[in-house]
Amino acid sequence: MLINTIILLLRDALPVFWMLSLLLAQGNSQALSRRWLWGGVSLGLMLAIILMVNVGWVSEQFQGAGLEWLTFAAHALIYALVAELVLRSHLGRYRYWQLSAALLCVLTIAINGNYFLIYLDTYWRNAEHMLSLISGTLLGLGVCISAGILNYLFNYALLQRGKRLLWAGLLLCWSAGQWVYTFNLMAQVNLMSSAAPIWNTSNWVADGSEWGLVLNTLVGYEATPTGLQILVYVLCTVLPLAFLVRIPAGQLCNEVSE
Amino acid sequence: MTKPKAAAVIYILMLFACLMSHTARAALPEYTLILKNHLFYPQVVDVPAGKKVRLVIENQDAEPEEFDSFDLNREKVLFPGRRTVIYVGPLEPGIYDFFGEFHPNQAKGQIRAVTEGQPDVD
Repeated sequence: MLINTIILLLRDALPVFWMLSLLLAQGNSQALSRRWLWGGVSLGLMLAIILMVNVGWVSEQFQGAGLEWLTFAAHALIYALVAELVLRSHLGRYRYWQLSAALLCVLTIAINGNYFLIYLDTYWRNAEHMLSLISGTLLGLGVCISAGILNYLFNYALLQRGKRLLWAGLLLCWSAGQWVYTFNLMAQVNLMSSAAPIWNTSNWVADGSEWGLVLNTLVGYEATPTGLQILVYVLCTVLPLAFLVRIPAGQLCNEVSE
Repeated sequence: MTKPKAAAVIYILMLFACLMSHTARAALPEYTLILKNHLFYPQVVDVPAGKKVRLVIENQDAEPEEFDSFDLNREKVLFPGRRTVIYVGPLEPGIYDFFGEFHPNQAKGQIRAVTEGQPDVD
């Protein structure tokens, strides 16, 4: 029970802390207000609870594919927000940064938190498991907070030195990986074809191993990806990065103002 | 339309074109799994290799469970007292493990993809 709680918390909470640390690093490096953080986290938690209470109803929609559709759409929106935020930051436009960051928080916490809350709710009423549940949650949170702090410090240092590309790459890989992973959910309800995997690296790093879980969060690692997943992942990461490399920071701003 | 806007539109269209994959809607072979007392029945399900199948899972417990399989890339919450459908395959011949995420030590099972006439994949 203890180990299972830690694993599930890592699966659901690590992506949230990873994203928060990347956004905080950029917000602090630009001396932006932290209103997005408090607003986004509290709204996200509220939405996660509302979703958890109504998850049975949501799941029944679209002929039993409601939860899959919701997760797929939420991650597509998260990717779009990340791409927009990265591009705007590159151009030096921070006008809607707070709104984009807050929306990212709300969506990520609501979708990821909902799955963990279902698990907590299942065991919460059982006093026998209470100690393991609380200890597992605290230990898992400790790991997530530590990883978040390290990632924050690393990216803050990078951004202070003006190295935005690596920060942008990490954020794009995270969001693209999370979105591409939801293709499996669409395939399991027959809304996307489930083609044979292009390669299988399970013998090196299995999806279910600790490294597999961590790499899935950081870069969207999957041991058996399909051709469609690889293609979309490459399009979603390489193309925006190539765009950032090609156009120097602030150039488009100047062109538009001219 | 400015160049960056046109590029963005083309980029989004390319992404959606990639996602427009057609899925087969023909009648598929169906297999039933029952979850009771945090155990899957049957614990081994034989399915034909190379074919997509419908897996109907009935959760007879009073609590939710999460069907999870790293081998199959499947992950679905099973609500108490409900039947849930998951599509699996086409699979290469072999053994694919699955488990209940909330009770991983109890709720375990396997899907065996077998070629017709060669039922033993071990």
